[in-house]
Amino acid sequence: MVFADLFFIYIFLPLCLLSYLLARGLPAKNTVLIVFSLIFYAWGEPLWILLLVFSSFLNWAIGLLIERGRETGGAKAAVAAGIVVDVALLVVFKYSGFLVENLNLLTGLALPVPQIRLPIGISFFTFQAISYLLDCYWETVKVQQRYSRFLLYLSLFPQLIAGPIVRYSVVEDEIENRSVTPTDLCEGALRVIVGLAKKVILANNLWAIVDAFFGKDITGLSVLGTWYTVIAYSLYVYFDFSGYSDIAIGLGRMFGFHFDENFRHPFACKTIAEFWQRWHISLGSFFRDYLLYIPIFGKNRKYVSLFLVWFCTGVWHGAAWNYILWGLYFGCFIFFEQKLGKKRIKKWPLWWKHIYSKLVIVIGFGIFYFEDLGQLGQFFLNISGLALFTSAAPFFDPVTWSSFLNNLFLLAGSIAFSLPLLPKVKHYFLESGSDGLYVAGRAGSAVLCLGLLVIVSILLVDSTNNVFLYWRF
Amino acid sequence: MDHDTRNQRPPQASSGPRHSAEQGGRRLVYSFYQAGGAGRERPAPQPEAPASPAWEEPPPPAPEPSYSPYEPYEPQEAYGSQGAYEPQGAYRSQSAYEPQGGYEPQAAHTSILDQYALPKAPPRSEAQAQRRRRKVDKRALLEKRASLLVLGFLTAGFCVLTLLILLLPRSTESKIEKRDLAKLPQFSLGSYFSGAYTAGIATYFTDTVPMRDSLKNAGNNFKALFGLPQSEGDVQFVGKVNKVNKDSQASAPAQPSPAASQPEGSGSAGPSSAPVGAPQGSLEGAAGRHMEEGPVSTQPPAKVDIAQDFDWNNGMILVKTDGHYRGLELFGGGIGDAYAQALNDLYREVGANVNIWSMPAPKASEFYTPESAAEYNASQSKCIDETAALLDPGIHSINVCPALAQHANEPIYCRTDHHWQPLGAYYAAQAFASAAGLPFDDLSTYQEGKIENFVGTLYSVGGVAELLNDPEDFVYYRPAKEHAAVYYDTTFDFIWDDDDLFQEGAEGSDAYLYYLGGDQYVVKADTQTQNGRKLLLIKDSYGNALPPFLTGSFQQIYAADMRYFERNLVSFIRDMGITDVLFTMTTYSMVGDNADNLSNLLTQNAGETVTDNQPTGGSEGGEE
Repeated sequence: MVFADLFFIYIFLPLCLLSYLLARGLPAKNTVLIVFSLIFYAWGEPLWILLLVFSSFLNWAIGLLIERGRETGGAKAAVAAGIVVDVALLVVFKYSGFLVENLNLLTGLALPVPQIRLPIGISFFTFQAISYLLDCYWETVKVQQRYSRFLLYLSLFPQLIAGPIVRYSVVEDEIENRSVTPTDLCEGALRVIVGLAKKVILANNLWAIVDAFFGKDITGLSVLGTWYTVIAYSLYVYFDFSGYSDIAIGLGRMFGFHFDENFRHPFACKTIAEFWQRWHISLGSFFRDYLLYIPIFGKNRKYVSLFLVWFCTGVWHGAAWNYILWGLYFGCFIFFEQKLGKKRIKKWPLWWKHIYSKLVIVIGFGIFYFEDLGQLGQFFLNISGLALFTSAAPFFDPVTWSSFLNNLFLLAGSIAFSLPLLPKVKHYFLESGSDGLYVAGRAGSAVLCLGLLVIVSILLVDSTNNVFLYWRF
Repeated sequence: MDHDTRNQRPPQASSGPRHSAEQGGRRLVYSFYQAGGAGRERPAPQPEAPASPAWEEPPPPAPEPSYSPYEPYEPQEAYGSQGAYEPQGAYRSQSAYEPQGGYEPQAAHTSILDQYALPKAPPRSEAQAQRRRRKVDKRALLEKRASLLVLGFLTAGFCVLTLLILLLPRSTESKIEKRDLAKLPQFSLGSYFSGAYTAGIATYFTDTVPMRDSLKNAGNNFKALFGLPQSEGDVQFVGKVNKVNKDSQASAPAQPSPAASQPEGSGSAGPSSAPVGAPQGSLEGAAGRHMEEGPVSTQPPAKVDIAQDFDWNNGMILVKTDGHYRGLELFGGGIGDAYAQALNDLYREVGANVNIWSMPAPKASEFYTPESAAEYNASQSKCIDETAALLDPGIHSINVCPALAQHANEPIYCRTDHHWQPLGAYYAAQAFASAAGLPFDDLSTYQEGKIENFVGTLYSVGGVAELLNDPEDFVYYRPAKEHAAVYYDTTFDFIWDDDDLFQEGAEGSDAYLYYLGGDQYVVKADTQTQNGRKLLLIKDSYGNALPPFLTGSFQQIYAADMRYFERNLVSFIRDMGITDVLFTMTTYSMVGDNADNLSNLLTQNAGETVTDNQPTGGSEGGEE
């Protein structure tokens, strides 16, 4: 099931909320959540829901083993085994095809390439499980004794398939004890609507631009056209991903959970280091806290750890070389900024910091898009202008201009909303001394959000668009 | 200025009084101002910091609070009777989260309440402190009430929407998309485990939303707000558009755009199909790119093996002239080798006794494409000539482009549909009759009529609201002389007979169905022209408009669609006594996959005997 879908919004969600609010007592509420979360996951993965259940059972059991083995020293073995199994599951389902393909290329063998379909959300819940195991081992959290509670944590549907990587420590208390206030419901609902609007109004239509230009061979695409499309693509990824995170956080809020922010207006950053503290925060902090700590290469080889972390970041996003390249690309810039040092970077003029960071980010998203390395190479030729000579690409073309004029307000709005404008507006209204402004702010936000919901619903009708011209009478 | 140092850290407990006002049983606690920030205990992420972590200084010692720029921070409620107090001023944004590494927090937002809660100097008097507390409490009360009201409003609004969507009658067909809408899928273990069953339910629900077409139109109108309105002479490109290779069309058919060979051409076409065309791949091909799979479309194309005559060859453009919008499908080029092959094969079989005519129909882009888009549009006239060169000299080729070009100022093509207007078919028929040396009825002998408010396929596929809001008239011409028509199915079994070649009831977006009632019938017309010539028209939907204009030229006319006709062509020609075979289909069909159907016509049911189970007028010994 997907969030941006009429069925989810108007059937699944009302049923879930109603059941949740009617259920009395926390165990009943938790059961409601577990049931709906499993239905949610089984909707898209009728078979591999078994994997989710199996993984949750396994990790919960290992959590118990860790606790029991603390004195005897078996804890270390348990956590190691758990992590190995979790990572192995992820590798098998996600990377086996990639690995075998490259093995074949390297060695000249012709092993059959497994075509395993990736179960939805496996990267997310696997990392959640690993974070739980490590937190148990480090005694950051108390081991969850009850399987149902752990299953609730892992399968909670708001964050199950695309949500922030919510750590157990974040929801540890709220699993046992939470309340839902009218403000929670209110703010949560508004957040969900904002997330849906980002996804359906902005992201989907930005994708139309990207698909029209990058969805075919880009060899003839003009230089400006390539820049135009990659900027649209960067905005698309931001709104798509942060939209889902918004929906996840809003939904969590409506059930009484407070997830951590996953995006903090990343395009308002000034350096790449800052970008990664604002983008996909749950992933960055996961690697920082769990991977970096493991002293694989010893304390002195800090830059090896850096590149390892960025390699993993890239690989996590997909099983293809361009994602690895993307991760290492950012690793290089982080390394470069570290080498320069904060003091020197602070001295850079503001305009330069902004331009530098946006250039790096946008070009990075170009790498992120092209899984086909040939097309990726062509992309670099296009954006650098070398394509003017190598493939006789024009500098500019009328199709790009037409698309730009046709999407001018969409792009302007996207850029505007990618910057922290909304918080400033909210602050002006909601934190003013005047009660009138406050009430106006709240009323305005409510009306606006309802309007957004209506627009989102109308646009979602198109999602099953399927034009047939088979004439019937 | 990069940041406001004053608010860089959350104030420690010592810097502000710990308010606890007890009013009516409520206790308000600024738990935010307790150590750290989060009301919830969050231990440090790691027991010991590594020597120097990769991209930032040692992680912040304080646990990271959970907050967001979107919502007021809500501390854990300590004495909850009426729900947690939300100190709006506690919204600290970036300042509380202090990741090092070159990150400069924005100026934190201070709240009016801070000034009351954190006096920089001790209160001058108890009365003043009391007044401040009252203000804060008043705001808290207002917030609570506002939340309830907003929640009530949102719930009411959402309930209304839900009831509308659930209770209003479901749509059953879409006139815009020209299909029956999805039905509830049948349950089976196989369909469940493949995911098709659940996806089908979701698809059904969205597909059959009440007033689907109106909502789609509303959506398209909304999307038109994304850009500047189009000005005169401007060209708007829709879909994937490639430059065409002008030098040699034979060598460069349009780069394989995936839609060209798919039954439905809108897969990657225009804005309206964005969500479907959007991330369908594996969820985590890039977890950052494809958040989730779209609903698996379980609506099978009506007939999978039949190509549509809407060949989305090279995208579409929208031009604006004289205040009216015209949609033009761009031509990507190509040559009809499969077409020529099939015609040559037919000529070998029957050419001795039968006239074979090749008259491909150009689409509107040949005549109306402006200079600015010329690079993206290949010449259809050139394509027709090059394909004609591949034909056996015994086959008669007609290029109607010059004839139509002469009349380009007249409404010979639809603006919102990919078909020609009947007037365009008239000029093509005129060219054919003159090339064949046959009599031909002038337009003045026809009776004109029109269907208004016609918005056709170019809107359906392109989703551009400009066409929706600029409907056109579909002008048809009925021959004055009477003719009788018999309608057969694709296997040439009689269905019904009629008194003319037109089907009443076609209206709105179905206007073109007025001619022959659609593509799939085999239609026989008996005319008053007694010259013994019998025409078989092998066509795609463009050919539908020809038969009425040829009633003055032939004694009997058969029209069969090359995609749906199931009889063997050679047998049919022989058994029905055909004297002339005319191939009229668009250049797009000629160079595209549709042409593959032609060879099937020659090979299917080879050697059969075709009989007419409703023989009429022109055939020997026929009875009505």
